[in-house]
Amino acid sequence: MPSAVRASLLSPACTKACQEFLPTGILLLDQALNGLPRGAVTELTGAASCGKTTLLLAVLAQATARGEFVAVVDTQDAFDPASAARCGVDLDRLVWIRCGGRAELAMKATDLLVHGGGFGVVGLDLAGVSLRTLHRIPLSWWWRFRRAVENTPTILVILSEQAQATSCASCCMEFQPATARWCGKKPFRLLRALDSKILVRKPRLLHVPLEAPLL
Amino acid sequence: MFACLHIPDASPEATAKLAELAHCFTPSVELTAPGTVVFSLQGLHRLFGPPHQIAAEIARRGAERGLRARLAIASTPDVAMLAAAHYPGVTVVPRGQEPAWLEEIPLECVPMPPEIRETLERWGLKRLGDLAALPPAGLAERLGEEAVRLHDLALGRLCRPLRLAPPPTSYAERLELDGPLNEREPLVFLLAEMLREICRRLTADGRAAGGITLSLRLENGARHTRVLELPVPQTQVKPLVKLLELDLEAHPPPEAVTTVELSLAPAAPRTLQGGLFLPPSPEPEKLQITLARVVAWAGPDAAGSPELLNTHRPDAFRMRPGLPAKNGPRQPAAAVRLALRFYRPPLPARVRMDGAQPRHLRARGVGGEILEAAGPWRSSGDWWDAARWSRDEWDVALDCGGVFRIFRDLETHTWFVEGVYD
Repeated sequence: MPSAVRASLLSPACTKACQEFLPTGILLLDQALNGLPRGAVTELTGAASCGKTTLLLAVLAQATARGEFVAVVDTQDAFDPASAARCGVDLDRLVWIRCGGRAELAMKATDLLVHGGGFGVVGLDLAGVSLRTLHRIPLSWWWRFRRAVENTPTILVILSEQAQATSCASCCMEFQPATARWCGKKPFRLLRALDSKILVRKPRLLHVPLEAPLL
Repeated sequence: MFACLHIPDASPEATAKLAELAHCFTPSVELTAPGTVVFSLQGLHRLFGPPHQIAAEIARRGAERGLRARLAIASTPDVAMLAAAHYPGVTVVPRGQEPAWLEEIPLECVPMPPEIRETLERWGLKRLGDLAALPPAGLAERLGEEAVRLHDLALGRLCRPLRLAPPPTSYAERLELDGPLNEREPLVFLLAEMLREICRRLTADGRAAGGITLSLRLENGARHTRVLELPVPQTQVKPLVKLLELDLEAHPPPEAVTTVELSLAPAAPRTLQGGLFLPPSPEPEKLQITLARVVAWAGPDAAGSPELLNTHRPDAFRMRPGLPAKNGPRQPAAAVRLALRFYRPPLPARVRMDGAQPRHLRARGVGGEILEAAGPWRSSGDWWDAARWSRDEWDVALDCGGVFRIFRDLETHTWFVEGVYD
């Protein structure tokens, strides 16, 4: 093989091009990013009611639709299996770890899951955990997770209100505060959807609108 | 050499005891008929000596079990069986003297087709000796192949392989300790040894472990019993030991242990169709240990696969202990839907009403003016039960941001924040 060709095949650019992606089910996001990168950490951040959990469930549904097994490490015990089932997540392929508000347990459980391997998506839900607790998590954990999922088909999705993994994450999405869409006249109002905007910070800066209908 | 144990008119329990006694000596055991067990003595002379000493050992072990059976030892299974049926007590038929021992046995004791029996009776034959005296060629000419077989039997020359019965397998082990054991580590070491032995039996029978029952007798006489159900049948010792260790870590025995009883529930081994293009899945053994570890840290129902319950009750689900073995059709992903995040338990709240509409919400960590509200959506159920529920639900958007689901319990007239849409 000519050395130039070998060099180009082994270059980081080629490795990036060969990277696999899992579609999110959100058309605009998939068109812009191809989906979430496999073998990498993705971070979804934003305040309450911004749509980050909706995106996580959409990704889980896409993974289970491909026959993959997924896991959710739920720090605050906030996961709703009924919402997941409505989004199309196959609950028979889902492992749910309920940590009862213990962030340390959530980190340990995530570590076991990502090192055990075999999952398409592992979601670490740190939303609702106090900032004081989050700041106590050593940065080495995130590097450890990044190393564990590298060269595997697993996507580690971290949900939190503030960015935690920072440089360890290959894909960072910040959710802008959402606006609720209502219909009907008062007093017979009905919540229809949440309209949000995703600011993708990594791998490249772009804005993607997100519409999450209730029904 | 072969031995036959025989109890006339034996019950099925007695036959089972006879088979158990035979299995103490050899795995080559034939359950010939109710109350009759024939087994091979091959190689036993190295352990016990000549046939009469083997017979003495069998008789001794039979007496230990309270069995009163006839015993015959002979060079062929059929001779041993006929001798045991005819002669009481212990009979050892020396090799080469079979015709002499068989000649006195009446023909009624010998199983044969009724038409041959009728013919032999008409010929005036009463005993096996009479049959042995007849020329085999003439018998074959008149009565066919079966008569030749009976002639060989009468001369003690007929040898056939045994139709082996599988040994009664028990997947349990019991261990009485020399002294009370307080520490977990040596106990786990003992459990590993017991599991290794039981798993060997399971694997030999082509079975797997579907559950573990551990019963510990404590120093104060009480029992500490743990039952572990395995969602995926297993045969490997290491994961089973780890599961037991994690369970003992979460539920340690309150006192020192004096006796350990361990049993595995046999189950059909896991079958899963693999494929080159199938997505990877977590190793069941590894996943089970991970989930057991989380359960040991966080308590029961902390890890597993959720299953929705068939009810309208909000947040109704149950946790299954592990991933169900699934290799079936895939469920297509639905369109993106708004997700709800629950507060478990719901946050008690104070809501100020303006007429029929909520105007202000205050709860721990959540509060503000309500800008928009949709509701009330009334639901109730299980009115026949103590766990009945009846409530009015609202979806509210607060001025500080966030869309929440709140509800008013119609039984207690108190407000709660159930979750946040995200």
